[in-house]
Amino acid sequence: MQDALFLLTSAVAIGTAVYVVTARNPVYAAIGLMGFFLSISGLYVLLDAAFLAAVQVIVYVGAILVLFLFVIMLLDLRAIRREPGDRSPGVIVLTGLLVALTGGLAFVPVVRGIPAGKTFAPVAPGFGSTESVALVAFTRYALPVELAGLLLLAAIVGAVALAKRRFAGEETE
Amino acid sequence: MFTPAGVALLSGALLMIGAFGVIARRNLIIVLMSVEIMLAAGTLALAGFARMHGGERGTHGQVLVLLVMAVAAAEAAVGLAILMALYRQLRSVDSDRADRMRG
Repeated sequence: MQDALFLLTSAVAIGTAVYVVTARNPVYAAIGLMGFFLSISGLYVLLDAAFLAAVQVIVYVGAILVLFLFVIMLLDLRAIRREPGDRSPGVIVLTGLLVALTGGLAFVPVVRGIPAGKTFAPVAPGFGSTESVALVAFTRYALPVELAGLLLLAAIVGAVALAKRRFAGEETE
Repeated sequence: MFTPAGVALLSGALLMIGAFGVIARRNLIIVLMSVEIMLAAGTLALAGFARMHGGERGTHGQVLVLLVMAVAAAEAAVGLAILMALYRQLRSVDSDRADRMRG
């Protein structure tokens, strides 16, 4: 049963990811990205990472995707879609082959490194729950968590500084 | 199929799809989306191996996934802000048009 669910969710993940990287219209790509994030969340549920699955939806779909949509809406889509398409078919095929080759080569040792026949052994009932993650995060990893907060603050300040509209006193345009 | 190796292979496939998107697409919005796909693929592998180890070690892996998600969010915000600033200068999100530093 878990096998079937895993295969189904993987198919959705791969399908939506391929759609995102090939879509012409960025809004459609954003919807595909949403489907991708939701399928990743489903995979987290299958991997007994319930807390992560919830955070995935809240942060990726609820914040990052919304941010993407805001930015897309602020751009002039008609001008963008009139632009010539992407690279020539030859370049695309070559890129695909190169990526597949590099990725395949890189992943052979990873898959080989997993001890043969290793499966997902049953795990304690509270595994992946909010309590268990919080217990470790706020004790052993308290400093990285605080630093992550600082990083997010820096990102906010940087994003505002980069994207804010220039007012009458400054030229540029 | 639902084994650590299977999850690692799925993660690798998603990483490759994202990498293809970053390299082959000219539209910078799609490029940023492809970067997010790659990040999600990485965290998926982390979560898979965390589940494989289970117990205390596994929970440490999940905390790492949480931290990577925070970094991904920060990176998406800053990347989109840079895109906005670039768009204001170029009136375009075509990466081939961003060539002022060329030559």
